[in-house]
Amino acid sequence: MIVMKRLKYMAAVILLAVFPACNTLDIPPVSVIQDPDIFTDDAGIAAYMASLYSRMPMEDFKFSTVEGTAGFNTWNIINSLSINTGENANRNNGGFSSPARGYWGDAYGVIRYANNLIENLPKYSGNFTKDKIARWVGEAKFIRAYTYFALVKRYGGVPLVKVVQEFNGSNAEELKVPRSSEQESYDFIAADLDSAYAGLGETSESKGRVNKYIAAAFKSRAMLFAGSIARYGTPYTANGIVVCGMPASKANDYFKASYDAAKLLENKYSLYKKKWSATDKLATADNYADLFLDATSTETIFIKGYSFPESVHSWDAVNAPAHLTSTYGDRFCPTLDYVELFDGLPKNAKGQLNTLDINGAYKVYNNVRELFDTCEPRLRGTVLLPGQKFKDGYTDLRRGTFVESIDPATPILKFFPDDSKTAYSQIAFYKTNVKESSDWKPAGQVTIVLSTGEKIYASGQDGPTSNKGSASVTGFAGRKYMDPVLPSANTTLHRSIQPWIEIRYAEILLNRAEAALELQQNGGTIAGVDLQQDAFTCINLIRERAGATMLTDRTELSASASIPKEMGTGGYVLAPNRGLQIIRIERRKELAFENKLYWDMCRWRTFDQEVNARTWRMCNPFLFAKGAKPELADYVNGKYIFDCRFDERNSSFTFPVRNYYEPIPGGEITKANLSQNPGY
Amino acid sequence: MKKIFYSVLLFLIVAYACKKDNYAAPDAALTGIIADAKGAGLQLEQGAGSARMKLDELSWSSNPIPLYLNIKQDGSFLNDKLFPGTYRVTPVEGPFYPIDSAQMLMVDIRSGNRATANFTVVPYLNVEWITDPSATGDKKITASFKFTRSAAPAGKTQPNLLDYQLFISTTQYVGNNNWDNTIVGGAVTATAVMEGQTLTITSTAAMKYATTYYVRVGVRVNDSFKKYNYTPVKTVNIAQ
Repeated sequence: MIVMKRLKYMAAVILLAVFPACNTLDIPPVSVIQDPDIFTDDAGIAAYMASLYSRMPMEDFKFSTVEGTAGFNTWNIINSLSINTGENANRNNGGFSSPARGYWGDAYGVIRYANNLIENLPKYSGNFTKDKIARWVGEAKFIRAYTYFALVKRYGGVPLVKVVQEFNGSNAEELKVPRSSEQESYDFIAADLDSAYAGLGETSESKGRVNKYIAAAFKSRAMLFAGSIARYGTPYTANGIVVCGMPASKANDYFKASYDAAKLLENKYSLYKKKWSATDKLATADNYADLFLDATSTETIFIKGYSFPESVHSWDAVNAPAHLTSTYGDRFCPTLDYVELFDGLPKNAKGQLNTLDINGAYKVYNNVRELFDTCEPRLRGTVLLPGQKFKDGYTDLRRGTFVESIDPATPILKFFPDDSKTAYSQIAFYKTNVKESSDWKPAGQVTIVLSTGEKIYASGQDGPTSNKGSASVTGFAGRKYMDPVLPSANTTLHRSIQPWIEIRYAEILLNRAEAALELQQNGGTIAGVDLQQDAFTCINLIRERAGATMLTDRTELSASASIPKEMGTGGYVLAPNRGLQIIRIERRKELAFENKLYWDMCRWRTFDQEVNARTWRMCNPFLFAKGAKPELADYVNGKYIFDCRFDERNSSFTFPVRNYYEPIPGGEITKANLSQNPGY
Repeated sequence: MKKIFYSVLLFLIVAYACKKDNYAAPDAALTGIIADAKGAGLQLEQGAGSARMKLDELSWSSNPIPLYLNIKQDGSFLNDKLFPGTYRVTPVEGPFYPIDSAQMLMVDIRSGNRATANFTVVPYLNVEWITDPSATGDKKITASFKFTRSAAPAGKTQPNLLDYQLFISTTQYVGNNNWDNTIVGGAVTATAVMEGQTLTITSTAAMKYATTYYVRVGVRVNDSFKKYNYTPVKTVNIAQ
């Protein structure tokens, strides 16, 4: 009993003693840095900006359609946007690879972060000059616009969250923002970019940060999208809101906004021409390749930088020709369809590469390079052609080798018609007279011993091989962005640090030309500007730098019928008329492998027609063993023929119509009761 | 000894989590057809590519996540593994004017029963053969056809014409989901003046094999879904 009493007293005393120490626990978490700590000096803002910029949804060297965080930030870029568009093909991809990865929550994270600066930084006006606050708010608005654009190009109209939402325990319903129309979404992006342009300075605060011209450049891109969707899209209404598509009557307004924004960059940036030469095609080709790697390029507008070892990508290792890397490699194989867009190549009536004589027999070339000797320099700057010097070797592209008893002087008729998908192995002549390897690696190669006693490999060390899943699958390799000085032995994953050029002046010129022609053909005007002439000038600036054939007269940008498929060069590029077809072809040639064309083909709404059960084409070089001489480990000097055909894997690609808009993630739909896009 | 003890223990722990799955397998069935005003089934693609049946299970939620059923080439559909429930059935995404909410059907599907949901829709286009497809002397496939547009039902707008294409396949399931695009040219832009005219379309390449080819012509309009209205499937025999 006494024990019981004692316990009671003890309990009462402890309770009384402890209670006064209690306090309402309502202090900001000390492990999270708060606005008042950050918005105090330049260093705090720099840190805030670093985390804003690093979360921008940039489709850079680390963007994939299957891996990463909603596609972002992965080394594995084997599945890229470019394998869907006819730019690229590789052995891992035999069909359309949808980039719809539900990028949503992360976007609203960045947007909230930007909103916080826009809303709260001006409250700390005592700490900074007015100019600085205006500039930083401008930067945050640019990043907000950039992020909204990444959403709108995927989903159409999205919920526009313009303030920092606060949950007070009972307002969950109010925080559910419904989808705005696609038009409102684009207008919001335009307003943010205008306001960024007004607030930002002429020059960037530091490398990789935005200035007012970057905001204008991005606006020209966003408004070009908006104009195209208004003109070519089909409006779709859900819950009374036009969430997809826009009134066609708005198209000219957006194209005008795009034109005006592009025009602001005139004389601020220029096309890179350091090594360019009017007479030397090789120098012009090198100039084009250099523009992606030269840190002092006058063409670069907006970049994302990398550094070793903390922020790296794997562009070189994944994409190098098979034998010029220590790992991976060969996933960058431009298609023949893409190569055929370029000037300076022998073409047939279909506009396709012609490697035959008038009798339908293969033309014999004196070496593997000769076919492409006179090609447009931009092609050589973008693509590694057979026998091209690169890094510490040569691209060794060869499908097979004719046995020595076959004389190059005896004409060989084309194995199959162009439009056949039949396997080579079904031809008796081929089976007896062509040696081929199933593996590009020296250990797996079939070796041919020449009568001179010298040995050569049947297939090239960069493919294509008879096993269609090894090395190049198109007969080409890629050059754009590839580091030419990184030794093959050091080409490994997570070692590349060349900056990604998100916006460059060539794109702005192409935006401007397209907007100008869209306006000119549809009754739009801009005071004091001859729009067709302006488009003509822009295209010729691009072509001159590329070393391509110039347009001779502005009337070539006409509204007459476009060239149909297989009726001339670039016929497969669909456009409402010839003038726009010329501009679209130019855009493809110039901007390929930069993760831009996928979205272009979406906004033109031609993707589903162009890429419908589509099989890409390839170009197979064959060597004659007779007279061949191995000069280097990866270069055999000898006579060659080239066989153009459909991809030997017979893989076919289809862009589903519904993919013009991606599905909004199911969780978000349930959470905020959003309407879904059509077809899902 | 210990090992056996632990294995038995593990087995018991795992087995303890087991439960007899006593739910009945779904056995309700839904069947029907999407037909035009004349009662003929719409010519579609096999699967989910050209139209789908949207099912909203309304017995537990007014805004459920929909379930979709595939459709056969002749416009009919059948699924006999559905859970019993009250479904709102709508044909969607097809080459026909979207149906109004009044035309949606509420179907009560009971276990072991087969319910029917038939729809009459207005196809965007009617596509008919003029002459049966045949092989030319150089083994190309040629055919002539015509198309007419259906007037838009009240309150709907008629979409613009888009294009037409010849679909050739070596199986009967020919359509935009199953064809060889390397033996025909690009889709031909369809214009209003072509309506009712006899149009001829020919493959660009000769047929490779001595076999039966299944052929269809599709014409489509430029709506959100861009689905083809087809002719019925015909065959062409290529002799060696």
